[in-house]
Amino acid sequence: MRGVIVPNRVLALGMILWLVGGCDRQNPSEPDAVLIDAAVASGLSFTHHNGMSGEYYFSEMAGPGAALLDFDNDGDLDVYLVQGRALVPTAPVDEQPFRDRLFRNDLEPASTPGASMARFSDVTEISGLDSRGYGMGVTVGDVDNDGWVDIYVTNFGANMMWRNQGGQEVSGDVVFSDVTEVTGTGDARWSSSAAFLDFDRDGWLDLYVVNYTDFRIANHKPCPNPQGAPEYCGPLAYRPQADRLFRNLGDSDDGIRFEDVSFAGGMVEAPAPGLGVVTVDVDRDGWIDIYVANDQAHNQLWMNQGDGTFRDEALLRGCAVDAQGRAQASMGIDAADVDGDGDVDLFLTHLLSETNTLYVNDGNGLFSDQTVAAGLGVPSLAFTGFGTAFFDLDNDGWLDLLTVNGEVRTLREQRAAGEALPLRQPNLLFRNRGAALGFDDWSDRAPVLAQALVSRGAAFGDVDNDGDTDVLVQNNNGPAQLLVNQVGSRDIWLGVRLIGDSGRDMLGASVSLSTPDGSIFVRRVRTDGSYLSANDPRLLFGLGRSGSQGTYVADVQWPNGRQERFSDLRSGRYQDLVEGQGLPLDSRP
Amino acid sequence: MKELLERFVLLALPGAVAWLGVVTIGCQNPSTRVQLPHLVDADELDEPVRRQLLASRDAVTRLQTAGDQRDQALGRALGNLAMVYHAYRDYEPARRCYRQAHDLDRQEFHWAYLLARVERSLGHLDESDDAFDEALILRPDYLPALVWRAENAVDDNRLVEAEEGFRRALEVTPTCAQANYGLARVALSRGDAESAIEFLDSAHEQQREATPILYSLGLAHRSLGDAERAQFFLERIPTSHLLRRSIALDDPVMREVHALELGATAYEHRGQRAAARGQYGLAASELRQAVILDGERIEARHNLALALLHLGRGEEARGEIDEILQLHPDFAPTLVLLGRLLQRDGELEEAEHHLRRATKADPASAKAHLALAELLVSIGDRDAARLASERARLLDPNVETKEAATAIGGSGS
Repeated sequence: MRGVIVPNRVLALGMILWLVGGCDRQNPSEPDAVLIDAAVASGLSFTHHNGMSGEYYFSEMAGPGAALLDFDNDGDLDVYLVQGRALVPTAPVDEQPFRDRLFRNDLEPASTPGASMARFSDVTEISGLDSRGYGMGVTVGDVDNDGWVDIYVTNFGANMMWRNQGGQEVSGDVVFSDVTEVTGTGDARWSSSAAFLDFDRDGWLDLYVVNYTDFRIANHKPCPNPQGAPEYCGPLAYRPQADRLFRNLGDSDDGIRFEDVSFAGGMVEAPAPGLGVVTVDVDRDGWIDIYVANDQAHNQLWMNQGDGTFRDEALLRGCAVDAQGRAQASMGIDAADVDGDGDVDLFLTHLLSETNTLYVNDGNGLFSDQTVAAGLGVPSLAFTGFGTAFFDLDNDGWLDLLTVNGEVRTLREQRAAGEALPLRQPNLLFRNRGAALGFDDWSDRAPVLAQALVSRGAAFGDVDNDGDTDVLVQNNNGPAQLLVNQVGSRDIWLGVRLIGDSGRDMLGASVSLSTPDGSIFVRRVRTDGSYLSANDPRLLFGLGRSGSQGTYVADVQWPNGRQERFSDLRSGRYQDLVEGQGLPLDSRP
Repeated sequence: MKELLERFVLLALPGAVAWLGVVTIGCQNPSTRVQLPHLVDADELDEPVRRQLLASRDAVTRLQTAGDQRDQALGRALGNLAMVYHAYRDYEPARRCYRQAHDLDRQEFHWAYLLARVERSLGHLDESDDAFDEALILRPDYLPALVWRAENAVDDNRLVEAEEGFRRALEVTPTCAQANYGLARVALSRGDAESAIEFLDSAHEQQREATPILYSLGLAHRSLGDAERAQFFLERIPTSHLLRRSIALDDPVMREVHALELGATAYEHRGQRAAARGQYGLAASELRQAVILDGERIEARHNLALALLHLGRGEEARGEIDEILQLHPDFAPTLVLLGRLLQRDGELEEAEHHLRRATKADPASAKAHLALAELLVSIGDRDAARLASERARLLDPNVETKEAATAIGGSGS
């Protein structure tokens, strides 16, 4: 018995506590909590401002996102937090008090011997970053193969590319410079998520930018609810926008430059209100495909044809609409092997009264909606989900699931209570039961999730390097939260970082890890997914179910098709797997 | 010991809750035994909606104030109020009012059934099941109750229960497409695509354009390896959200609820939906109602003008356009529309004036720049036309395609 909570028992125990404790509210038992919020304790002090003015501008309830990245190459995850501002500024933009923030992590020893805890300092001012647009999201990747991770910020307005000049340190501090214009990666439309990928397998990271609608302050219009009261618009009120695919042309005398290949890619012809994106090889042909979460429109699965073109096959492959043929309001997104069969499955978060949706891969890139069978349907109906990811909370080898929530339409009860932004909802945690696909609602194992906020972005990664996955949550018009995992590191784990010969994280690589007992775990290297956010590119393997410590073997599929084997890997640590240093295997064409 | 304690509480809990309930009700003044939902944003509601809500609430409070404690009367007043909330998809207050109505009058089918529907909309399937069960005791053959009760079960992966429910619905109405579709969902959940196709074919015979049936047929054929059949059905799925067709299931009780929806917004929504389906007569009628109720609804007025043009009622359309531009002289979509009409009528100079105004009013409107470019071509100013056209494509590479497929429901700019 794995301790599945039976609702009646919870009710019963709650009754006991209430009777014993009188009317006092019981403080949640933090020592037993699987996640706790350590934002303030770690120095991560940040509050998002959405600039709401009472006009119900569409974009003010959409952001923000966050990134976990190691910008200073010191081996721990730093934090980039996207900020908003007034949508109709009364002062020049460069005089606005709000801007995106960069926090450096300097791990400190924790009270437990050998353990560390995150300690953040705001280094925005000395970083060279000066991102004052109305921020939406962020993605990260090393676009110039110099071994230092760069940052791309999506805005409601002009997007920005920030190059990490790590090799040109100034007073010991890493300096970012704005290379939007020189790289040609600007986009003035309302962009949401973005992702770096090497779609043409040339060794340079390309960029996919998801665009939403053509809403602008100039074409703002009222979108009252059915009773006539003011409300935020939905995506159907404005024209959808086409996404953009930028191909990295590599380094030149002028620096890194990108070429807009959206037309050749097919995206220009298919505008849709997009919000989330993952880049993943769904049919295992060796070419990275692109899956886009669209809001109240068919999701798109851009199948990479290997010649610079893509074809949207979402409908035929079964992941455009839900089992009943409904285009849902897709927002957050992730792709991972949730059923342990070696292929990637897809997950999307949706609007209140829609279920979140799990599409299970049959191994050939054909999907079927298995939401109900997995137990993920009914529990999600009462929530509007945004950031999400599969991650192994307890390192038992099965990927669990977190969704962060917040409404987009006024919750009348909160409005009646006088709340300024009555969109607050609690977040949800689901634990994977294992072998037979199914999830149990574990939200009550982390009392912090019951704290209702207007959650949007969520970035997943191991911020304290203790071998389990933590979660950075961005809340609209609210504080950032750092949900630190309290249970994962109790079980066996193994971490790897996949590094190319240029020294960068090899986004798009796939690892198949074999354990001494014959278990196999497949994970992909990525920063994409979730909502408006960027995740830890390192891979964490929870090995609890394999039950043995020993040596492990990793078969790596590099983005260029090359395959290598790395043997004698040890648990309980992170190890670098460097391209070209493993044993070559038969490679894909 | 802990288990014993838990068991004791589990056994004692229902009784304890009932006791607490009695105490609570007993402590209340009879005139406050009914609790109305908060009235939120009353001043901001469409006037007819506000009046409708206030009147329905007044009916409840009048009964209370008059000391009329007849359960049936109070239940009816609360149920009627719940239906008003329900009509506007305001489910939480609707649920609370239905719940109280149902508690007061358990013999009234409406409150049990509608409570079940609202609980389902809120994702409370257990509560919905209970209410459906009570409704079905009162009217065992009410087809929508049978179907939606079974839908709850299939949504909750209770496949045996779902199958029984759908089969019972088919006993009542053998041609029920949604029940056949439900049985297909059950079969698909069990991996039995062949049986699913049989049920889906039956459903498809009844409702040939229903999107869920077409989509499931596509996936079922795909899973049997028949890619050609799969593609045949999947290609018929409409890409537009507005064009999706649900499976029709006549529900007289829900018709009563929908009939309560009033107000400019409701008319406007219905008008847009009708226009998207090409039903311009209906669209014009609905949008006209929206404009009568709220003359400031500029989007509705603009769409009304478009619908009238589709109907060949150009003069009326021009009247609406003039009204809009009096209210909002810089409303770019209407300036573009007017420019195009003037161009069509050969009044090129005036057309250019309005189109230039549109590009100035909304410089980011690709549609306005494109319309201007087309006009400039017609008057022979090719250089200026090229510039305007380039500007339009820069703003939106798809503008020409979109323009060709003129969408009445969009923002128009």
